[in-house]
Amino acid sequence: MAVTQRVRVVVGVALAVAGFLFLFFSTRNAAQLTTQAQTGQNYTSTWEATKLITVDSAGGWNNVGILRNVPIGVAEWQVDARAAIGGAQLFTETWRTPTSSEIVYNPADQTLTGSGFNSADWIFANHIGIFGDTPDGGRVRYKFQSPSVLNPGYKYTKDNAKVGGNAIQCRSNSDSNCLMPRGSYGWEVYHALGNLGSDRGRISASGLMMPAKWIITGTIY
Amino acid sequence: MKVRKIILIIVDNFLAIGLFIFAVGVLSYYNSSRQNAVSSLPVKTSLTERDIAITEAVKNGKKEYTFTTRFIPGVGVITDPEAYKKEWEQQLQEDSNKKAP
Repeated sequence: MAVTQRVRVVVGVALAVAGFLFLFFSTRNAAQLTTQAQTGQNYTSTWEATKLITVDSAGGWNNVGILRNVPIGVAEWQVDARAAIGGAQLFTETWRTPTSSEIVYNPADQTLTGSGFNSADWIFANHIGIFGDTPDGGRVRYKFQSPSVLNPGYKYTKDNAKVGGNAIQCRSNSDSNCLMPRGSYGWEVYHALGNLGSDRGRISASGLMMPAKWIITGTIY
Repeated sequence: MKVRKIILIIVDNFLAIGLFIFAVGVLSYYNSSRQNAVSSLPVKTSLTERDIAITEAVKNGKKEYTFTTRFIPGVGVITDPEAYKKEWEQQLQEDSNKKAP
């Protein structure tokens, strides 16, 4: 074989190998296109809350009684999704907050404690207002509970979870010292009525405990 | 003798064959990349983490995938948690100063 012929063969083989590599990667690109489509156009999904964050707090008048179990947001979602591009594709996901163990705020030393709790994963605010000296040392407890425990039969979906269902807890009709949700993942204790003089109709305590990130596990079908 | 002739023809034209395969490969790759870029534009959502996770799972032949996101369902993507907290506190302050009529 002449030298020029060898060179032609070597160059020909190199070009063929490169061509096959391009063909291989173009097939992979096509696979990516299908999966991207699953999360975009023609994408439908259902969301159902399977765990809620609830708050227990006093922060109210006369240092008596703790108001409990008011849902302020969702801590776990079950998602079923369907994409109908290039044939039906299904996937399910579980969305979880970074922790689901009770978190306690202690106003005495302004600390938050809880198993696996990392403050970087949450957006937190707490304000004990005009009645700071409350039962349980003014502690605020954030618990993670099943919706069925709090409100049997009520289904929390993406459309109605924001307000926490029918959540409101009042100590009595006489003072209307009520704990209720305040926007997403927030809460407040409010005096709407009562013999409180200048303090009548005021927010006496409030807080925010919002997850700053979610951890998701999914399965493709 | 015939086989030898065929081999010689292939060897003689190896460069041309290689060039042909290379051209087909490049064209195919260019076409798929272009389609991918055009199609992905309208389907992108805020959940790019999900896109990446599913893409990787499919690529590796896995059914399970996992990812984290700062997208808060019902709220949106919070890019600045501190700013969100400050805004929440400011609104609280304004509401706290209000009294019942």
